Amino acid sequence: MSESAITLISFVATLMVFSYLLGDLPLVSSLYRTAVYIFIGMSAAFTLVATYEGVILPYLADIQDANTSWTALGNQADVTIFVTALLFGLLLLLKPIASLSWLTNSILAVLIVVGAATAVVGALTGTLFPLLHAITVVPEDITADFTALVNTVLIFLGTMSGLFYFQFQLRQGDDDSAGRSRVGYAVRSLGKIFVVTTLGAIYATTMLSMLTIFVERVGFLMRFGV
Amino acid sequence: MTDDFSWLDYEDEDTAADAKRPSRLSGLRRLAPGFLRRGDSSAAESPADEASPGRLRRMFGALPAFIGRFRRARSEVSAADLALQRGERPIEDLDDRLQALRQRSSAHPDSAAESTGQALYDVDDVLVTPEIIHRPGGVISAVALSKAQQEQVALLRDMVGGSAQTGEAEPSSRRIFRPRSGFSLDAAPQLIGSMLLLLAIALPFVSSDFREGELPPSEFHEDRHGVSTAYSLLDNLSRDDFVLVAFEYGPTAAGELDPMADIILRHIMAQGSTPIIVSSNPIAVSHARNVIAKIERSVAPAAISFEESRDYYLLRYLSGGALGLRDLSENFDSIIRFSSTGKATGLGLTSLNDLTLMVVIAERADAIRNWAEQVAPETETKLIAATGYAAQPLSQPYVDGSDEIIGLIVGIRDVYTYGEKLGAIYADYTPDPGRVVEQPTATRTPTATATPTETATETPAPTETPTPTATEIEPEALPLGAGPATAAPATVEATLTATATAPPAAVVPSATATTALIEVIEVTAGGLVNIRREPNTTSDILGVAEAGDVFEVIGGTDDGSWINFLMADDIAAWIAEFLVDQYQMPLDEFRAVESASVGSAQSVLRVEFPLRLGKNRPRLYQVDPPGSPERPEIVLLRDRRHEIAQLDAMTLGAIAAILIIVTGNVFYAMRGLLQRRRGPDGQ
Amino acid sequence: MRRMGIAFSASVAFAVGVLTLISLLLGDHPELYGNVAGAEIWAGLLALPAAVLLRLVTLTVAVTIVIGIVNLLHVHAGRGLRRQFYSIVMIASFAFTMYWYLTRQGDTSLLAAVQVPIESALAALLFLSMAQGGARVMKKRADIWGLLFVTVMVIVLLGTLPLPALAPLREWSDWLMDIPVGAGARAILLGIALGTVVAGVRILLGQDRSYRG
Repeated sequence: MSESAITLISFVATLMVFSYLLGDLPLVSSLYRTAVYIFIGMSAAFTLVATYEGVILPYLADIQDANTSWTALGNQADVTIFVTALLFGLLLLLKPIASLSWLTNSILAVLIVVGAATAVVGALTGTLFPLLHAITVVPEDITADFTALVNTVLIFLGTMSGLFYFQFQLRQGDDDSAGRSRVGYAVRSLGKIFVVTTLGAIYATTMLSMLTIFVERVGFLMRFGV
Repeated sequence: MTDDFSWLDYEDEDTAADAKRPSRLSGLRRLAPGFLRRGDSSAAESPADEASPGRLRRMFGALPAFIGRFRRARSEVSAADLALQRGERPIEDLDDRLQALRQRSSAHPDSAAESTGQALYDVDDVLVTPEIIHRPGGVISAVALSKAQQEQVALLRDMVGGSAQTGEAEPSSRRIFRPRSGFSLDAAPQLIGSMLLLLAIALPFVSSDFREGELPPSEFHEDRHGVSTAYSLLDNLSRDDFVLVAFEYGPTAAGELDPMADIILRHIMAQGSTPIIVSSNPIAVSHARNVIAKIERSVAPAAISFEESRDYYLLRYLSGGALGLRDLSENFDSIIRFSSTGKATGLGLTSLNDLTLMVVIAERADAIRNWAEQVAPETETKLIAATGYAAQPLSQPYVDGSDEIIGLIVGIRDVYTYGEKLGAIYADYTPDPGRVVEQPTATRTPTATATPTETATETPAPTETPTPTATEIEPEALPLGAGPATAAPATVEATLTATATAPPAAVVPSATATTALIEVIEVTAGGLVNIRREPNTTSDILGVAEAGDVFEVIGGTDDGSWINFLMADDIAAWIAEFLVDQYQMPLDEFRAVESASVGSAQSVLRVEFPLRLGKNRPRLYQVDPPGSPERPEIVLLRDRRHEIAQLDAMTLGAIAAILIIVTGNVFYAMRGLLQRRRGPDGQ
Repeated sequence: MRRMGIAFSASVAFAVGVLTLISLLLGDHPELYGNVAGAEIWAGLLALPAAVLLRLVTLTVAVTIVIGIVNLLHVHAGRGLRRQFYSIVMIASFAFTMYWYLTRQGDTSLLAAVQVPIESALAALLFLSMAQGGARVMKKRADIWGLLFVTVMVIVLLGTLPLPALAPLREWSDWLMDIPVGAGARAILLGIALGTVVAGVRILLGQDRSYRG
């Protein structure tokens, strides 16, 4: 497709969605909804293509070629993995059959625990250790720089109190005496300050992202001559 | 995040009604029309009961979520509906902890903002990431699809938008803003606000007279060492390098992140390096192909064309979200064997360590978290993080906390600065495909006193720099005592060769070097000493030095207690006088010694703030002098015509948004105060 | 029978989970083995289960995606047969995209021409929504937390404005993003990670059987 055709179609598609701003007029709202349905169909198509060509097709190619293998276990292992995955996917369709729940549940169990194990390892090595290390290390010459000292203390206090507040909120309902004491209340309030501050900043930065996209679309329309 | 919609979940009204119908005729017959359906409803209860949320929860609660969620099937699909699915999610649907949290948080103020922010993410996810295994259970979604992040967002919403569970839900605030078709006084402020925003954003595209404020700087701010480091690492790639570029954004964020992907890919390819593109988002795989095609169209005038699996690689889609990323870590050698279209790539890399760099371009902090958790710990290759504004707050801690993750390159203002830096450097290269070796610009030869002869001697031809380009240096690994008394050139060369950081050609002093004397300082204090931006101990720390490091003096304070000198990249810096010795040294000797120093002319030193971000140990990167780019046209032919208008529109749009937010909240705060004063009965 | 089924599922879960965990932690990390003879071989062998299981799970995900899309098409096809216009549009869009892609050697320009503009425009609309929402934060409850939320929001937005007069405010904004927001973000991320670990361990130990029927 030529670039000019892409531009023209993009222009029409953008206008179709922006017609949403005009309200509930019958023709206008149908333009918007048509655009949304078009993109759902297209999204499904590209997802299907990416999944089939990118994940399933390579497997099919490999299991037909005895000389190559996806794993160190050899071609037969590839065949086994592929057939098993296919079976897993299809057997999940049998979930409604109560008498087969032991089977479908076991399949789900495999999916879930592999995910759980991956999550645990990832959270430990990728988030907990590095982040905790970053806030607990005391700089060597911390006393020489008052601003740095204050900032470091603030980061430590903010993180810990925020974590306390976060966990307290999630655990509410339990008998958490630590969280209900006067000290606990103070720490929680401090944590809430940091967390609400963070949420305010997240909201602002999200607005900036949306603004960037909005500007890009408006600029595109303006350049096209609206 | 996409827990409200997935392809598997999707079901229309009729089949959803079928599913709710009490029937034991489940089995395969009932599977036929809807494929996946809850058909084994064991209790024949009245339709009224079935329709209640509690009933539905009993029906589906015990099921894995991605099957049980059929209850939210809708008769229509629109972005607004999809966006609302989360907002209208029954409270009972939440797990116990979150339900408890919602009750607890009822005392918190409402924020339509959060709801809409959530709507944003839901639309985003719905449109982009139709993963199927969305919530097969608790933790898999935390891994693959960030249940934890969902909880965090739920907390966010509860904290500032807790009215939903108190029966005070304000439907309009939970919807995408929708102007009414007829005029209504209530809708007037919204309409006026929207018109103001539209006008503010459109004006800069009409005329440049509406320019407000300054353009982003042409250099990254000195404080932002992370992004400078990221730029330097990218700038020092060479022909044989492979860079993994992760497109972790879909079409929704294209308007914000396409320019970032564009400039990073151009930078990589202009140096002859090869990007290997990968994504855990199925649509992004196709989108990346279009981004490459756009770059290719722009460089067509220079007769440059790209060929897949030669100039770039587009790897297959990594299904399963975070699990797919872990798969990449564990099975890298097999994943890179196939392209996104299922064809053999011919790539012979065996592990992530074979890559020179990894770059993740993400629209959400989730993606950075996934890469930080599932990929970064499994390799020594550095990971550069580039995000949109939205992902910045929750991505920054990973950059600050991990030595393996560098950045953050954020938003279009950083893209502008990036473009300015590249433009300044590449402007000297004639757009000639003949690949004539050019002199680097002044900004690439940090030694201010260097003569043209020296510059020429130090500039390696592009073909002479195929070595790994960037090495992170441990402070202890730096040559100690490399001061003037002990540092013969041969010693320096041997040391540098041992650390494999710079090509020998770059450190051997030129035979034609001048013998003029210059004023230098040599660090004599033990341990690491701070280099500061201003002559006081409260100013920012630009870097660190250690005993034996030698720098050129350019001035000092009147009382002599602080000395002004040049560190790498000609950055003027200060150091306390009592930490150093000051004397004169022949220039050629200085150049040899300086090569061994951390901030030498042969290195680009980037140091993370050791204190402010809670770090003690600075990161020092010694980077080879960059060679001439292989194909400068790829950078030079980048279309930057609309950049400035876009930045101006961003400024005006942000001003308008601030006005609206402040006006609205002041109004509501005043009204609230007045109502409070009047009391509950309006007295 | 049902209890046996649950026991079976739990056993499978425990076995597979522990195997994956050990494999991920110890596989391909011979440095963790100290001076054990044949550490490289052991590390390589231990890495295998995780590699195979990850491959199996990601492939299963791919299969279910395909099934899910078929389900989506089936639903809309049914509605299309009842002449529901938008479902016909959706099916036609899917069919045309597939036709275009398959007959033009994988040409993805339709994505650039149609889907990217539509999705971008939808996201752009949300900016208006967010601006309106931001203006109503104090509507429900004008208290200190609402005030803090709005103040931070405005300071961060002001900090991005490149106006010379706002230079001092930019320093405040930068500090805000670096220190309080940095600390709050760390707290949130650590909370998520701790929650993930606790929930993960519960699942691995069989205390939280999300997969039970």
